[in-house]
Amino acid sequence: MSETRTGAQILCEALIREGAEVVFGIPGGAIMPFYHALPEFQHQLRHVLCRHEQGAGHAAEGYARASGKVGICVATSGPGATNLVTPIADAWMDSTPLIAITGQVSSGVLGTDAFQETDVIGITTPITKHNRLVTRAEEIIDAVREAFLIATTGRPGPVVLDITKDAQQARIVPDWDAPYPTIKAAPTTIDPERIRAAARLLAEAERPLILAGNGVIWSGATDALRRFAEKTGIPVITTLHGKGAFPEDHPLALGMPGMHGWVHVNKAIQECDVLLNIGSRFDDRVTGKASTFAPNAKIIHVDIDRAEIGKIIRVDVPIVGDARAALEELHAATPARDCSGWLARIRALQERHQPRQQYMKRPATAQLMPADVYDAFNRIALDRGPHRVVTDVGQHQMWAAQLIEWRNPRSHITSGGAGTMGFSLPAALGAAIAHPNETIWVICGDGGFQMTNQELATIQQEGITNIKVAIINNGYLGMVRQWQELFENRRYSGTPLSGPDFARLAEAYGVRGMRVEHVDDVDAAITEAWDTDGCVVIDFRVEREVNVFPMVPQGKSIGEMLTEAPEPALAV
Amino acid sequence: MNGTNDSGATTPRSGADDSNRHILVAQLRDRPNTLERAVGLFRQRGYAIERLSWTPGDTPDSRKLEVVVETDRVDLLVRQLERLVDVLSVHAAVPAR
Repeated sequence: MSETRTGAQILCEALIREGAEVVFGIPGGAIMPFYHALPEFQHQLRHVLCRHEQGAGHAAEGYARASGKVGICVATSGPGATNLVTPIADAWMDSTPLIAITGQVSSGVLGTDAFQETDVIGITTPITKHNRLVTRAEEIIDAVREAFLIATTGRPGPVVLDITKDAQQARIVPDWDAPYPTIKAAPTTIDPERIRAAARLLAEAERPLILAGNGVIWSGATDALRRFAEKTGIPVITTLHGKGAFPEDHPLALGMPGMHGWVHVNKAIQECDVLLNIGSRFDDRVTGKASTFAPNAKIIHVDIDRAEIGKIIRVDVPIVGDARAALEELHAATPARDCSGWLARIRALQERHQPRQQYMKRPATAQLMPADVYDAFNRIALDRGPHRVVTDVGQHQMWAAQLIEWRNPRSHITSGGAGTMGFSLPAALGAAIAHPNETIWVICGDGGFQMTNQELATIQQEGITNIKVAIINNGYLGMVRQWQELFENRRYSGTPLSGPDFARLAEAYGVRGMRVEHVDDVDAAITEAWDTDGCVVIDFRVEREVNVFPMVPQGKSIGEMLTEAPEPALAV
Repeated sequence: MNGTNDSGATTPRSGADDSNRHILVAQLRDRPNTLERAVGLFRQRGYAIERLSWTPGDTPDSRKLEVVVETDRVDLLVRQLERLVDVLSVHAAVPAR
């Protein structure tokens, strides 16, 4: 006779059997049975107690994005679950495999407005690949297996399991031999006719371009992309989430397109005659005004999600399938060719529109400019071991994307589609747990940092020592201020932002704090932070009104870029 | 027109009133949240439902969703419905007058 187990014990074991190593969460009434069961599994399933459920959700996302595995977060019913809504939406927009487990009131009182009862299934339906209310212990094994399958099959994404308290408490004999659930398979074969059509276009094009996105990273296609680009000589553009899909020190790497992309990249898109998009969804921050995007190009779009093809941009050759498989087949089907004339044309554009030039215009004083921090980081990082960078949302994020030379997949982690301020510190916590022997840098603004900085306490309690935080502190919600400066006649409504002394705040959490106000002190601070055996927060007090350029005003074509403010951007 | 069409081209807009009206017939797994998830997709992505029925499906554990909808992007709508985990099949047709 097999031993009976509670639903909560079965939940823990089912997670472990699916490969889970860590969960990020906060307990509460409706999830207490799960927390009661956890200590029994503490050697197989680490629990990280976060300070806010939003932090737990972003930590699970950071873990997933850094490791390629499923991230798991746990919360109680009601406010615990609603606090997870932002990270779930973030994972939905950025195709991150996330499983959110929420406790729910007991099945007998569901629908009665019981204490801490919230319709979590109703709330999370539009922002999940799938969600499921589990009211019986007998369903738990199937629900967990299905959640892992759904989160990781095809285009990754978030899944919510809302598990009633009585389902966690009930004792049953678990049936581990039950058949695995089945879900619709992701596309596994690629239409060879489409590959031939794409290869023909790429072989005959005079000005071909590759646009590589998040899908290249999730399908493990970075080597396949490099081989294909090297065989064909076609230059490669990487989106924000494609950073690291193609090494930026490669001769064929062009940089980032879109709203804050380089001029030569956007001009190349507007001039190209064939555009091969691999694993990017033509986000509006990439395309600008969609009807004017790549007007001369035949478009080949490779995407694992059929519903992304033709959604924004008319596509000539749709290829539904995995990015790596598609690249390998394209590699076989496309003859070696030479694009050096076209590449030279783009490099000439780049010469004329020196991308970094704007940032190099620094005052003669010791006043600290944002670019000084990135410049020092680039120099110092060259001599350092494995590291990753997690950015938040705003100006500092675009500067990081523009100014840091990205080389490796999963080394750049950020919130893209949802643009979630407050993402970076908790996401770094997840990345630091996934890679305890690497240095995880957070680059964030003073606005975003103040949204989730309570997770410094989590970092301290967990004994995490490999996170270094660089706050690009300009005392504004800087990206909104920039828009106000450029498009709203400098009416700085709601954007000037005060904050605490971040170095002292860090010290209050038991984390080393530093402040840098002069350009001459940047190198020493970054070096010292890197050498410190412990987490460090550096408050970089930068010039307050520096803008991110180039910039495509919202709704404009990517051919219409501002490269500087109509008036001098620097307040003197 | 069938649901597996993944052509990138959008359905061209036509001047005739009825040409953008489509009837979608979908088979879905019979689960508690299936109808809400499918209907929510129409709302969120801005497809106006003219008529809807929810009836027993081809098998005991499936349901049939029939929706009359006016859109010039029916191919995209079909693909968006198809990617829902509980949607087993989707077919679109122009309704009889």
